[in-house]
Amino acid sequence: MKTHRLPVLALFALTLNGPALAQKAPSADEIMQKSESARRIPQLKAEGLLATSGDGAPSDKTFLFSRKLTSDGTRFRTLTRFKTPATVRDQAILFLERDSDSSDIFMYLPNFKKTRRVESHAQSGSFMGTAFSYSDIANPHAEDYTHKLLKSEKCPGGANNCFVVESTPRTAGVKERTGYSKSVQWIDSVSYLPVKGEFYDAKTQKLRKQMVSSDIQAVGAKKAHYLAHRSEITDLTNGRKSRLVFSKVNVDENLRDNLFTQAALESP
Amino acid sequence: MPKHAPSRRLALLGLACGLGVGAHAAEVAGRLLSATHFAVDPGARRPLLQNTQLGFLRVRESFDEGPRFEGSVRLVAEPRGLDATGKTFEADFHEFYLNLRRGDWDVSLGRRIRSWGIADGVNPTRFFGAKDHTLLLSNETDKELPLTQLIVNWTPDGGAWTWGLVFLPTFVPDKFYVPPESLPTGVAFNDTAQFRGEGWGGGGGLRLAYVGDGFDFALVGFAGFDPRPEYEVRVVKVLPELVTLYRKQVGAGLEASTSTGPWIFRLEGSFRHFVSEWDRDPYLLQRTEGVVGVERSLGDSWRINAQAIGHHSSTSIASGSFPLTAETAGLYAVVRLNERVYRSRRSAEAGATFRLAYDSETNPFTAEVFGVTYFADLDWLGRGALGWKARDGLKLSLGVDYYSGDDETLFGSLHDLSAAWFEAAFDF
Repeated sequence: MKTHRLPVLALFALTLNGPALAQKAPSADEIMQKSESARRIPQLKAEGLLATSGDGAPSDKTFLFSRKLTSDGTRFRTLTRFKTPATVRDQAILFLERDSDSSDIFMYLPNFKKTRRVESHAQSGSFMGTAFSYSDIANPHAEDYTHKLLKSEKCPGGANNCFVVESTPRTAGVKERTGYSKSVQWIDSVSYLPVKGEFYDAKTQKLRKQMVSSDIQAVGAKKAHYLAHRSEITDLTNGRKSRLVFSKVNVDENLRDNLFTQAALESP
Repeated sequence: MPKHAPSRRLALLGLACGLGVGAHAAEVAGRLLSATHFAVDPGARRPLLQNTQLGFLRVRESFDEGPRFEGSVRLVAEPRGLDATGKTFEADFHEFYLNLRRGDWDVSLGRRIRSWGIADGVNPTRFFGAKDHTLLLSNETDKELPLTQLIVNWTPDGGAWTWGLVFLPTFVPDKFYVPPESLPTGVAFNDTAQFRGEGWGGGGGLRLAYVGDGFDFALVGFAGFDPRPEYEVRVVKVLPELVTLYRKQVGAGLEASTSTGPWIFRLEGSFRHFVSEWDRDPYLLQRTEGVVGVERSLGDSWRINAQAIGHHSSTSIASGSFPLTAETAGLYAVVRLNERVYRSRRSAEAGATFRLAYDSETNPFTAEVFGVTYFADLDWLGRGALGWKARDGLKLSLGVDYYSGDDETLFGSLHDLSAAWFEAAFDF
């Protein structure tokens, strides 16, 4: 595991911010591994709302979201089925995470009653026309990046302390998949979930998106994981802003494995 | 338009109680579509103006993770249609099926549309289903005809393999537009299918699908009737009539797709062998078809797709195999008609399709250009369309369909269908 020397000022800030942190400041890798672990909810079923404004007409989409951890304990299978508006009703996206550089994405188009493969490259593209990309709503894997702890400071808009971590893709494949050359995230020291993120464009290297997460709650019977019930993202290149809100979150229901198959995709 | 589509509970309590399940949720949805076609060619034999009103009302009742019922009623009003039966209004139970999901099993029983094939517009494995080609609508799914069928899918442990069984107890044929000039002189057209009374009209197939890491494929095996007709002249009463025959076939198909970076590659192919039940050879003996395609997005809003098409046919009779005389003129015309329907004048043919489409979440306008051509005869079909998403659920479209080619070619013989069209579609 890599360790990083903290700047003197950052160490000073850690000392001021809390004795626990000052005594044993976790490394950037440890922080991001804990962050991934905190978000690694084995099974999740929820209703969602995607609201987009900015360029073009505002649009709201509601959907059912189902996600299940695969047997490798790292990758997820996700099914998103849209309910409204009527033009996208029953449209569904099956996201099968593979290795760090690729995933399989299938989209069911009810107007054609057909399932079509979506290019793996599309993970950096817009998710259903929102400011979110496919990779923005996926759980990033700590091992896919090199991390650097920039500083520790009070979380933006919150009372907790935050670790500010810069993450850079380890491979060109991850960079191409996500569309980002690096990200800077404010990781809540209690929940270990990012409460703020800045994402830099893979081509221009300029700041492209800003994301803010809130309403972070411990979920499940053991309260072992956390979920941000509300996330807002702004695409600075076009001014498009999207809000993702989860409700009716259920992490205790046993989701069937065959919910994440093409056959299920075609049975709304 | 409300932000959330209307939804209400239906009183299917009897069904719910009978199935022994508790919580349920119902959805009512629908689609209204009005299409107007203006013939491009003033000399066309089809009506200059054709209006089609189409309506779907769909009800879906879901019982938690248990059974699901879905039914839809379709209304078609076509004041001056191309249907040879002359019907101008039709209402039917379009889809009406029960779906059960238990463990690794997914079972559907009833009338349902199940689109086959993954290629764009040209589907060699579509021989399970039937289409109404006389409906001049831009959305191909609106032309799909529902089939009474049992569909069983088994995905062991929710894994990569899915076994599928399709059982069709009855047969539904395609509906075709037969250009008047295709009929031999003095012959009337009889649209009654001629397969009945010749034994069981059903069929069935198996489908084995695999989703791997970065690729997927499916193998299909099928035995049943070909939904495309074979034409023959018979003296049914006093006058000779052009009748439609539907031949039994056994076939196998393959579908596969993969993605590398921004590209998606698709492959779809089939081989079919035709058999006779009428003590005479079928016109078409064997047919092999294949489509290879590549597709990618250009930014968030544009998509481009190109496909190569190839097929090989072996026939029992060809129009060039006998002299065209006064005595053989009728037979010659019918053979040419069959050749056009199956595009089999040459044993092997190649073609291509192209599609460029624009659709954006931030722009209410859509655009699409689609074309298909066959290289030997250079006949082609082109479509251009502009759309405007006026409000949630409402889309207005303006387009042109143009069929071109020699009269002896498929697209050339359908030149009468060339039209400018306007469609208003409302989903609720």
